[in-house]
Amino acid sequence: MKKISLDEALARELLVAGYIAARQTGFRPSNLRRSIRNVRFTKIIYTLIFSFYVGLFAILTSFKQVSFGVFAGSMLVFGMGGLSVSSMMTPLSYAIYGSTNIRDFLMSTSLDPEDLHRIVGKAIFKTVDYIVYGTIGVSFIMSLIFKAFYVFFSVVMGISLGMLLQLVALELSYKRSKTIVSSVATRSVASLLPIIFLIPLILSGIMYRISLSSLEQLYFVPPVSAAFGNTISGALASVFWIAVFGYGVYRLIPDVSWKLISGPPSAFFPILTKKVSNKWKIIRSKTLALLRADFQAASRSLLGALIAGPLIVFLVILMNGVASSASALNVLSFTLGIEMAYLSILIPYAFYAMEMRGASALRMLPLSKVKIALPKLLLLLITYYLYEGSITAVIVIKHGSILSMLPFLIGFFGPAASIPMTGIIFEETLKSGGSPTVTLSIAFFLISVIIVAVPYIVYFIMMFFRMGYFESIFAMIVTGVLEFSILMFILSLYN
Amino acid sequence: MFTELSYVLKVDKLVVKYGDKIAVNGLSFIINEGEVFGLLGPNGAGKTSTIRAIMNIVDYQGSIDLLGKGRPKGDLMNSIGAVMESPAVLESLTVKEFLELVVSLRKVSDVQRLEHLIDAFELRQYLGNYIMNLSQGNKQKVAIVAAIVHRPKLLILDEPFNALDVKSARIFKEIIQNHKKEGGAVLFSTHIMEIAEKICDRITIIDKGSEVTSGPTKEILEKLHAGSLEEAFLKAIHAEEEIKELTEAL
Repeated sequence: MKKISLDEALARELLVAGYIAARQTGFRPSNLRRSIRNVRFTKIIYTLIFSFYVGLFAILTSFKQVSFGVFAGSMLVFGMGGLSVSSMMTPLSYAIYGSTNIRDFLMSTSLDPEDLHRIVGKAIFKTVDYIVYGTIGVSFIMSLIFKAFYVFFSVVMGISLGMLLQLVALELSYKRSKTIVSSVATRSVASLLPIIFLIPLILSGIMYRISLSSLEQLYFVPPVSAAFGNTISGALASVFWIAVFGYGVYRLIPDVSWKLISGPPSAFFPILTKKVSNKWKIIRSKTLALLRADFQAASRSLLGALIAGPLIVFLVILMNGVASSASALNVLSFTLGIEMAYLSILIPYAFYAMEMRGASALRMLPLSKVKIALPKLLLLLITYYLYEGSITAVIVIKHGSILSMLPFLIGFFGPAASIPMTGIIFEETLKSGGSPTVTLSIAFFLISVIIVAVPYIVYFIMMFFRMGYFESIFAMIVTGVLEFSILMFILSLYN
Repeated sequence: MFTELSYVLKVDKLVVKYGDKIAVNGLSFIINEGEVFGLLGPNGAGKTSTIRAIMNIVDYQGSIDLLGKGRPKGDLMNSIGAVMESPAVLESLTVKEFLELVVSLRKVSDVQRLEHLIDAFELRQYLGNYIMNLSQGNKQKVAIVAAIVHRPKLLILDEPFNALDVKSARIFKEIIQNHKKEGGAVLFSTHIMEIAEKICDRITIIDKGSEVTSGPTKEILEKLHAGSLEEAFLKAIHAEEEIKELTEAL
C-alpha cells in the first residue's frame, strides 16, 4: 500500500473541505465518492482551461496575420497566469476558513509549530499545483516553438504575483478591525487585489494598439518587464521580479495558511464591542428581508469580490465608451449592451453563492424556491438598468440616437432568465454535496451565456432577414419572457 | 391507542438513499398532538436522514404528511420549528440580524416573546456578535430561539442538547414540556437515553435504517424486561452480548 505524506493528505483534506461544503451548507453530498472524485477532476479541468488559454494567446501573438501585438499578448497571458491561481484559491480559501478540525488534529501531533505551518503551506500550494505546472509547462513549450520567451516570463510572473496578492489579500482579511467601516474597507481592498488580473482582458481592445517600443523606458517595471522577455535586459528584470514575488510567497504562505484553518478572517467578522440598539428592525416583506440579509452577508464575504469586480468593470467599460468617438460607438453599441447584460447577472449569482453557507437554515424557513429567487430578480432589475441606462446615456449624448440601445432597454427578460437558471443550478449543487461540481459549473457558465444571448440572437436573426426593427424587438421580448417563464416553472418544481 | 385523526406528522414507508447506500429503509410512524415522540438509534442508524427528509433537505421516497396538508414546504414550514444536529444558522450575520430575518420571514408579530427567549437563553450580550464568532453552545441557543419564536405546531429536535449548558438545557426541557401541554408535538432524536426516557411518551428504535421496535416508552421497558431505556435500547439492537465480549477482550 502506497504511503501518503502528511502534506498530501492535508492538501486532499483541504480540497475536500473546500469542495464538499457540507460543513457550511448543512447539506450532505448525495454521493460522497463521486464528490471526492470531482475534486481531482476540477483541478484537471481548471488546468486544461488555463493551459489552453495560455497556449491560444501565445499562438495568437506569434502569427503575423492575427497578431494583436507582443505587449497585448504578454499582458493577456500574464492575466491568465494570475487568474489561474486566484480562481482556484479564492473559492477554496472562502470554503475552508475555520476548518479547525484540521488544525486541532495537527496540534495533537508531536510536530513543532514551525514544521506544522510549513506543512500546511505546502498543502495549500498543492491545491493549485496542477494549474501552476500545467500553465508554466505550456508557456515554456510555446516559448520554445515560437521563440517567444516573453510568454514564459509573463505566465510565471502572473502566477507568482497572483499567489502573492492572494496571500496578501488573505493576510489583510485577518487584520483585526474594530468597526464595520474599517472591516468593509479592508474587505474591499482584499477582494479587489486578485481582480487586477482581469484588467488585461478588459482592456485588450486598447492594449493591442500599444507598441512595445513605446514602453522601452518601463522595461524594469513589472509586469511590463515580462513583455521584454525576448531581450537580455527584459529577461533579467523578469527573473528579478519573479524571484521577489516568489520569495514573498515563500515567506507568507506558512503563516497565512495556518491562519486560514484557525478561524474566520477577522476583517470580515470583527469582534464587535459596540452595544447594539434595542429596537428590532422587522421588515414585513419577505423579499426585502432576504435582500437585506444577502447584502449584510455580502459585505463580509470574499465573494463580495463578485460584486465589486463587475462594478469596476462597468466603470472601465463606461469610461471606454466616453473616450470613444461617435462613429466608433455606433459600431460598438451592440457589444457594449451585451457586455453590460453579462455583467449584471454576476451579482445575483454572487448572492446565490453566498447563501450556500448556511443554506440549510433557509430550508427551515417558510420560503419557496421562487421566493428565494425574487430578491435577486429585484436586484438584477436595478443593476441591469443602472448599467444599460448609463451606457445608453453616453451613446445618446455622443451619438444622438437611442435606437441602437432600444433592444437592451426593453430586453430585460433574457438576463432575468439567468436567475431561475442559477436557482436550479444552486439546488442541484446542494444535492451533490453543497459545492459546485465541475459539470455543474461548466453547465452554469454555458447555459447562462446561451440563455442571456438567445433573445438578442433572435433579434439579430430577425434583423438579418430584414423583418423590421420593431417586429424584431417584439420577437426578442417574446423569446425572453418565454425562457424566463419556463425556467421559473422548473425552479418552482424544486419546492 | 392513538388515532390518526389528531396526528401532526405522518411518515409512511420512508426511504432515503445516498447513492447506492440506503440510510432509511421503509420507516413509518405517526406523531400526535400533545406528544413527545422519540426517534432513537445508534450512530448512523438513519435518525438524522429521517429528519432531513422531513425538512426537505434530502430527496426521499414514501410519503410525509404534516397536519393533513402534505409535504412540508413553503408557508407550511411555519408549522415546524427545527433544531438540527449542527446549528442551522447564517453564520455571517450577527445574532440580532439573523433573528430579525427569522422573525421577518416567519411573520412573527409577538416581539415580546423574542425578548423573553433572548433573556432566557442569556443571548442579550451577544446580539451584536457575528454568529461565526460564537461558541458552539451559544450557536445552538440561537438556533433554538429561531426554532421556537413563532410557536410552531411541530418541534423537530435532533440532538438539541448538544453543547448546551446545564441551565439552558433545563430551560429548554421546560419549554418542551409546556409545548406538549399546549397541544404541540415533538419529534425528538437523540442517543442520550436518560433524557429520552424522561421526556418521550412514545419511542421508535431504529437500526441500519429500519425500525427495530416501537411503542409507548413504558411498554417497551416491560416488553424487553429492562430497568432503563439504555438497557432496553441495547437489548433491542442486540448489542449487550457484543459489548460484553468487546470489553472482556480489552
